Amino acid sequence: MQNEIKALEANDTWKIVDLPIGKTLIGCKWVYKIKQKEYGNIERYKVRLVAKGYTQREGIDYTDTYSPIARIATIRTIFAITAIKDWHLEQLDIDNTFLHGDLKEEVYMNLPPGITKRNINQVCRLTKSLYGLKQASKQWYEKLTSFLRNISFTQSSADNSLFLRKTESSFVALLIYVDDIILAGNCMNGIKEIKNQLHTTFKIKDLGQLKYFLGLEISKTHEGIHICQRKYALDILANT
Amino acid sequence: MQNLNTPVAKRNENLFDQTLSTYDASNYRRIIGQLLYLVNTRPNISFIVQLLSQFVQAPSKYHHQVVQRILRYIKSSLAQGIFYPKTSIIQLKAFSDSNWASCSITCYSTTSYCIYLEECLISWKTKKQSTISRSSSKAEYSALATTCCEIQWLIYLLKDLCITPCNIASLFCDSESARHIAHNNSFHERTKHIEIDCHGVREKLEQQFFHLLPIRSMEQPADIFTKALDHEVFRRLVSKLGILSIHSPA
Repeated sequence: MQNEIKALEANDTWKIVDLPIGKTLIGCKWVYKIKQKEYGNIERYKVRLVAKGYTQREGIDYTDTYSPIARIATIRTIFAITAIKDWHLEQLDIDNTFLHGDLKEEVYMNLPPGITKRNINQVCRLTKSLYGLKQASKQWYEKLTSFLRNISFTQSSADNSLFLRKTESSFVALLIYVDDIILAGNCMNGIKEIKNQLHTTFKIKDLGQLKYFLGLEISKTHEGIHICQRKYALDILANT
Repeated sequence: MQNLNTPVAKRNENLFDQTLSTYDASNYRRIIGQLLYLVNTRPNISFIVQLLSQFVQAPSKYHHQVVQRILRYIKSSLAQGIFYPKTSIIQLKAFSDSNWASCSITCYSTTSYCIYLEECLISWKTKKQSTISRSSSKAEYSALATTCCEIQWLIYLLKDLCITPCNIASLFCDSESARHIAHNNSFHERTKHIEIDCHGVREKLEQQFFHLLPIRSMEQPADIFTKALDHEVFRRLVSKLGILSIHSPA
């Protein structure tokens, strides 16, 4: 927990200030999770600070909460084109996704349990978004898209979560599904370059060739691409 | 032991029987929700899941039985999914179909379409229409209008992906009268009641977004999205959709 507080402070998530008169506070709490490996062995303990977003009031603590996600037909179209054109298909995932977003609204939150108050009025004024805030996903989406535009991607008008970059030697399509990102393109160097660029701003986990995405199992062979939901089907059957 | 070559029996009158009492609605809703996501790679169960999802308000014991049958079908074909062959080409092919007055409670018709990149199935839909059609031509024509919108969207998407299709898209429709309405520009006493938005089809056709072509009802793959079929036809259409099972190492 102390590590997490340090990480959040290093990320400039908040400034500790005295609560101005007339402003309201939202709560927060720590959520603990035990990450298990396949056979139930403990992989690691995870801790995350979440804001009590349900205490936020619309128009004051947040305005918009909408963020687009990819249409499934777009995803399938990209798979089909990848099969036909023999493109590369890679996947990556972004760590602590929602902590990257910047906050526009003035949001005050109680000090997280674990930080001792020096005086009774001390609170956190949030500058970055936190898990649990109503606008967390929107702020993240805006942060990522403005970054992509800066590295000369254009947004598709057919599907707002699809971004494209064309250079003389390569073409790369990037598809966003909240914190999961698919890269498809005709040139591996182009894809690598984008991964490196993303890595300088966000911490990314490179998952290599796309195999599993949103419950879809993708297998690429020399004959083409097969997608199925075997694991998902098994889960349905196990629950009934 | 029931024959499980299809996820649903051909005759299902009891589905629309409103006299049966509600049974375990919350469980039913949960499973339907899960099945709706499973449809993403299994268009062959799309029709029945769409039909069953109309009863989440008050499912009867009979609806639960139908769900059980789908689950058994899934169990027998776990790794079934869509296959995109490398040998395909980039050419949009769409099939539009409807089932007139298929809902025996409301008499609404069903729209369905499926769209391929030559052999790769990328988009499909099966949905109850929102207005009553007075004729089957009207039902077919409004299905055509829905399909047309999706084709246009896919053309834009491909353009954004810097992909030029080999040829202009083809839209297949097995209803002669619907094709006739789409081609015929002159004022028609009989088509006066068709909503204006449907006539988008004509405009798109004139702008050469696609060719409108006939197809024999027998060969119509979109049939699988509008009705329960016997297993012969079902199997033939499943292979047409490009659905394959792979035996992936567990």
